[in-house]
Amino acid sequence: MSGFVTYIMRRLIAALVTLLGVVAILVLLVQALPGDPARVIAGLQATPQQVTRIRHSMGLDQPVTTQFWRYLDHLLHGNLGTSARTGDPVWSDISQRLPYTIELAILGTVFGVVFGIALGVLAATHKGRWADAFGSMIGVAGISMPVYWLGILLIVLFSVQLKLLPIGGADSLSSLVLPTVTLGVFSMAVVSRMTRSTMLDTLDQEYVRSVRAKGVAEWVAVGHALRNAFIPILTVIGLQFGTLLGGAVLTETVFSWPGIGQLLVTSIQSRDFPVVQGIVLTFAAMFVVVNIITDLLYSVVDPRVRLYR
Amino acid sequence: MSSPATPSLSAEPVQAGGVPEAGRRRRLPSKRMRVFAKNRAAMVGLFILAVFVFVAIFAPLLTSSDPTLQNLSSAFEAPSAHHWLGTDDLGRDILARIMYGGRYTLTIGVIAVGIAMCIGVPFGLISGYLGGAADMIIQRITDILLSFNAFLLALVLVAVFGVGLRSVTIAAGIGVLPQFIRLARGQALSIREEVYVEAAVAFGEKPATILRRHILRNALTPIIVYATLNVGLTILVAAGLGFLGVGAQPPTPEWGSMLGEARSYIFHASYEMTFPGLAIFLAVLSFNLVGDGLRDAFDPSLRE
Repeated sequence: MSGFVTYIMRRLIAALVTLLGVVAILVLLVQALPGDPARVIAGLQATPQQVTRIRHSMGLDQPVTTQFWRYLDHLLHGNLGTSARTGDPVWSDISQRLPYTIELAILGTVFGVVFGIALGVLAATHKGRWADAFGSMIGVAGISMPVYWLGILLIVLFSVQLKLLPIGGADSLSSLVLPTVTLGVFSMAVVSRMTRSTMLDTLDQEYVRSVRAKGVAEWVAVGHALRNAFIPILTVIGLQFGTLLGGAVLTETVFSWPGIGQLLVTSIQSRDFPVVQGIVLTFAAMFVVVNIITDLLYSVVDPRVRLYR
Repeated sequence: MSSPATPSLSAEPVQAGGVPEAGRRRRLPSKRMRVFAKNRAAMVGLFILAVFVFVAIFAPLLTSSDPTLQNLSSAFEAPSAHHWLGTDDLGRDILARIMYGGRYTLTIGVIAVGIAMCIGVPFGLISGYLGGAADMIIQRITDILLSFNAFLLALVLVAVFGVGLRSVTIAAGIGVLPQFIRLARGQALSIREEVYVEAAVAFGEKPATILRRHILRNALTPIIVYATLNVGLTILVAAGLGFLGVGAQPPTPEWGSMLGEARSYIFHASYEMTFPGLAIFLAVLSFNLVGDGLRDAFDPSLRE
């Protein structure tokens, strides 16, 4: 057990170092703004007083190392700064919208994993036949599909033409359907490609063949193989979670979904950097946490995996 | 990540005063090209890509319509014999815009990957070959960049650089940069263990020469395969930025921004958003199909 605790501690420290690096980059990026950063962030219509206020509130009148420590100090006190546009605390804006983004990310992942594994297993168990060709086609089409185009196509079909589902917003359960499918298709494609290739390997292993030789039903043999194919599938779920968050930004914009992705786009358009910094940091933290969780799931899925020595 | 192939030193004549040149060994390009040529999906991808490149180059000969010329009296015309794909909200011919738009979208994708390769490969090779502190520093920075994801990183960079074609290209390139660092590092790690590298070290070649002559040359095939797969990704990223209105600016007929502009008219002119989206999809698909085919033929170890 102590090995496990050490492992967790090591992962958490590595995660903290990564997040510190993200903060450093975010602080440096503001310095890279052309001209006077405070003037750029305040906007063209800002009065000199407003520019001064932003320069002071973001600490832009101090050396960059001071800005970094100041940002960290505020962060530890739960303060991500205030929006340059509205003057609202950034964290309150994020915390109101974050549940929507998490909800969408979870649903998109579940959709991608369930349908991706199903499609991958179908392709692997029908290698060389039409189901395999179909699965491979969906796989490569899914990773090539612009998520924003897919979203609009679904809106045109299901909302405009068939009038079955709402065009956007987050008012009812039915408004979850289209954003979930839009966001989940990429994950589905990635997971199905991974599932197919690992299933083809495991289906050929000795133990699956001996299970088959006993004359069990085909799905039992496939179940045995699938259990061992889970590790690479989990890895790909963790790694593509970042892409999923990027997709969430576009999906939220297409469906007017009130999450932090949509807020990020409006903040970037208005160069509201305190908000951009807060949201990017939140996304990075989500990515890091999800990857720690998938690592921990390895040993649950396959007890032979020892994460620690 | 394993090395592309095992070298067969015995088959190579050892050059006077040096070690056998690693790049000339083992590979049988024609055999691998035949494997590639037999891959039907890859050939379909190559065909689509060839069509896009042809149309983008010869757009002025293929259409007489000006992609930026506004004609409000013929706005929102549905596809017809005169305007095959219809006209947009400002009466511009959508087909002409897509034909010319290919120039921007394809160029952005290729240059962005070129930027990622030119910066990422040297850093990755140095990181993997030298190890030690250089490796640790480069890898920690890569970890940090990877936690952003390509699209988010590009989006944030555009906020800094400002909108426009040039900043989108650079942002998309930096977006996929960490993947190239990782790939090149993995290649360097495995290639540095090869006998010919040990021999080069024994012959007293300088690290810079070894990196260039042996490591880079042998890592090139997987890097080029990976680059092809990444052109699709950078096109998606750049078009996504265009879609959000922070990429190419009007009246540039870039496909992503065309899609973003068309979004407002999905109720009465859904065809306006259909074709730019289809163009992005097919272009990305073609690069992915060709990339998949190259990978299967030249370096199956890169598979997923």
